[in-house]
Amino acid sequence: MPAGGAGAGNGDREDREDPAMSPTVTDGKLSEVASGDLPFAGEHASRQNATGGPFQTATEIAAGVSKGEFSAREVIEEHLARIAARDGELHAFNEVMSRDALDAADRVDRLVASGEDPGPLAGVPVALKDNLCTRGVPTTCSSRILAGWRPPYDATVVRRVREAGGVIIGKTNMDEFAMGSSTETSAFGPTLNPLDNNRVPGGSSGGSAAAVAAGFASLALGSDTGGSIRQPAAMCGVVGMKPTYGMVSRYGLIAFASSFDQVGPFAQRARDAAMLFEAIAGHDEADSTSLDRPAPSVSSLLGAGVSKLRVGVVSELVDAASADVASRVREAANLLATAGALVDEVSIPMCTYSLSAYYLLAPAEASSNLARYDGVRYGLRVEAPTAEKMTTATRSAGFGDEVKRRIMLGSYALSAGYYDAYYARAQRVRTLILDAFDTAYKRFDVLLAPTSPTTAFEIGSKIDDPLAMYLSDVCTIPSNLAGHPAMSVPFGVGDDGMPVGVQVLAPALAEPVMFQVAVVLEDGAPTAKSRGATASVVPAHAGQGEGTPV
Amino acid sequence: MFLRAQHGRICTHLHLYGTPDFSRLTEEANIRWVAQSLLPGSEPLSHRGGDGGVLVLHGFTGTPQSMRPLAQRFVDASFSVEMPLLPGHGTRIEDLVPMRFSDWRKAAEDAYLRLAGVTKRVIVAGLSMGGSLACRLAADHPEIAGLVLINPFIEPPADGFREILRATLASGMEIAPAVGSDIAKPTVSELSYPGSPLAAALSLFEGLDDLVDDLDRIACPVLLLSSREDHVVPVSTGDFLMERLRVPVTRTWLEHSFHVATLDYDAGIIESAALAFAQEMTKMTKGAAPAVRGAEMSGDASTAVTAQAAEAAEAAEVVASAGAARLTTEPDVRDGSDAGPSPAGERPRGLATGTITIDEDTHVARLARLSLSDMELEQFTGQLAAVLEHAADMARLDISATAPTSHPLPVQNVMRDDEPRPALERDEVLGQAPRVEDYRFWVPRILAEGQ
Repeated sequence: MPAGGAGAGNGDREDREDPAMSPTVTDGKLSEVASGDLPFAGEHASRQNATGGPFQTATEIAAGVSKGEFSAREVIEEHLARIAARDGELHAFNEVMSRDALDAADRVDRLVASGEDPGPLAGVPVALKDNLCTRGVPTTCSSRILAGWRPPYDATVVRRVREAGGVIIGKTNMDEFAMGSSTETSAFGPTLNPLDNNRVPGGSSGGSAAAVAAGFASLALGSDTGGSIRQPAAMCGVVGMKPTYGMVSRYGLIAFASSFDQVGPFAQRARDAAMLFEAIAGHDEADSTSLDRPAPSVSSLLGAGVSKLRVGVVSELVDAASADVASRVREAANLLATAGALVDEVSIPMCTYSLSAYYLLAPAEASSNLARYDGVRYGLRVEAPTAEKMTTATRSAGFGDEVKRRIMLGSYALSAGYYDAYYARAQRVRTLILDAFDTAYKRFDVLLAPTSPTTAFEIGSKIDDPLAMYLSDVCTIPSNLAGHPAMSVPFGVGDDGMPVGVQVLAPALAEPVMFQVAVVLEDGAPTAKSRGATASVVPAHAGQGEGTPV
Repeated sequence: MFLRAQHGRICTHLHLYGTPDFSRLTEEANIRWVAQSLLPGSEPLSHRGGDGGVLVLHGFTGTPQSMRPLAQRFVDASFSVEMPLLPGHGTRIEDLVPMRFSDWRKAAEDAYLRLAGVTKRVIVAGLSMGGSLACRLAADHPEIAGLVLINPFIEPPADGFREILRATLASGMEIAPAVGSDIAKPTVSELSYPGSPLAAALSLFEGLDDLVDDLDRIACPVLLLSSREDHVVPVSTGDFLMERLRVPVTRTWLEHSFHVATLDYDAGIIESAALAFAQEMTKMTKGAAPAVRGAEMSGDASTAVTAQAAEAAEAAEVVASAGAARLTTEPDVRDGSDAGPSPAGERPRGLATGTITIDEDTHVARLARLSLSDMELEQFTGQLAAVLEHAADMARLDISATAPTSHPLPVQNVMRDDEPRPALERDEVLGQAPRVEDYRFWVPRILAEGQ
């Protein structure tokens, strides 16, 4: 089913919301979990709380399942019920893998029962962006050209999630081939922001961000080529992280722009993101760009604090943001200073050229990568008398507007006569941007910036103006050009009550210090009334239901 | 929607006639459609847009509801659209009982003439019997610019089958059971009658008998959209049609839809393909009639250009994938006689000023193996120009002493030991291919005529 998300049992909706039908209501242990210090306090979760246990954070689920306090099956059934109740409206999923997920949960439960180690992600529901290959399960990139395609192999990250005991719960909607910043370019229709259905969830990994924000999955994987994990994380009020280029295997990630693409985690909290990052990071011989060195341990430093850390606030990126977003970033900087960090402003003028360089380089790589969709080996074919006509007809029918635009832009930038003016120049500007970051990181351990220049915008407001859409990536792109890690942490809300994300940027391989800062930001993030409210605006130790805006 | 004709085997029709309780069926129909008004959703559509017209025809026992999303796409794209409600449909099943093929043919003809009166070029799109009527019109009106046929009903059912229907009719039963709306997508249904009047169906078959003899009179390009699985008309009807047509046919397989594909999973593919086809076919070109979509050349000169363009595209791909490699020789993809953006010698060497012309776009589209409609070209040209204009800010930077970065990390070739390992499952891989023969990917011929 090309667009299976909407078919995820919406007919059961009424029943599912009836407490009597909730699969997890009656277990006393679950109620105990429910009364614990869960950070997720959304409207939806509150309703679930009344009926039983809201399995929310990945660390708590993994701990509870490993100890046998509750079963992985119960966890998965609860999440599937939430999906059934609300995904018809949100469309976070292209495919919900109910049966596979329940089977995987049962396997985890059997390991626990037999006294074996079920792995660090035991029983944790994980959603996958639909550009990660899952053997035998449709993997579409939200494109008509791949609708119904069932890969013959699993991506390395998918295998690693399973090996760690994680339960793959479904494939999430995305901008077609990850080209977009709002999930509106999906061939199967947009995903709605769970906090305000009139707004976009960001993109391109909007389905993964929405799935975590709506409590459909505790963790999710996305891909970040120009901000596609961090920007939707910011817009949905969750944590999203792009690792150092080469840190996570891309074997089985459907390529968009190969010198930028990186797989990374979404989670409710930074410590949960750290857990998933550690499960997927590390060398993979199947990916020739994979770093041949052990992945750094990040969880060991999570509580180390920021004392004496040098933090630079990037003025050009703060200036690029709206006033309310810029204020949150300054407040975040103040918080770090209060916690002992050495905070200063830093100017990196070269950042302002990032967008120009990226929107020539990434489309150029995309035009090459997407040449493989020729109607021969997989996906759509529109028959025609010769191979070239067949390929042209197939691509014209199979690709959506944004993909066609980027292929056009990339082919133009690479074509004879324009190559030097566009592609070659952008490659040199990329060098200048790398140099500028290297200079900045001589003075600072991490940098601070907005994740997105604005909070989530309204559906339809930018889709007809590609340049305006591209500009929403202005704060995230520099890290992709540099290949550096960066992550977005929810930090308060904007004037419209929608979540704001603050971005922590770090030099290559510096994930541990980046997480260290993220945890301090998260723990000190302001409590504020927001629509629907998520983990983003509730301190991690706030009592459930107390002062919880709904 | 009427007879289950899976794989065209008579036996599958027969079992339908074993047990049905026709009296209950007609009674139910009476109760349900007791109000003689139009069923909500079955309203016809008549829209005045531009000079390009699209006539949209629904199927037997169906209504415009099944075609409305497609019709709406044409409306949105500024076409003039006529979507008639065919006689006897959209009210109650009894109203269909006395109707005959000639009634539907006349209604389609009238709607066509209305549309032709206010537009310059018209294409006809039809589902099932709507496809039969579309072919009928194109055979009668050579000026029709194109046909979009979605699971058209073309091949006349065998005599033995008709005998059974006649016998059923003679026994006093006027209405055969319908199979319901044949749609894979579980959340969607077609607004159609709960049965199929037999006399009307037999008349449709006779209409097909006549049509088959006239198929070779159709002179316009055809876009044929065929579901792989269809429980109403045999899938072989598409092949039957293609054997008898003398015009170019572009056939697209719909992998995820049943008979009423316009409401099914592949609706988006149908709409995009039909829209692109309609735009191509109604384009006002001077000279020759428009060629079939994607088929833009036949002579030696133009194929030579294409071969060069292919080379250029490959070279470009090499540049992108090799990263550090520089494109040192720039193949001149256009010879002087071709209407290119500018002669090679005059191409900008500095950063361009952020302009891109429609001619350049057309050229680039060919490199990228995309066939863009005029509307897409115009839209993209403006949008790409805006992006390039933004990118022109890079001209301010001095890059004379800067090396290019093609990759954020130093990359090198990685080789593993040359020892055998299990590969992907052959059947699993080939099972995902659009077409396979003898364990090989099947492709149309690579070279055009004369190459």
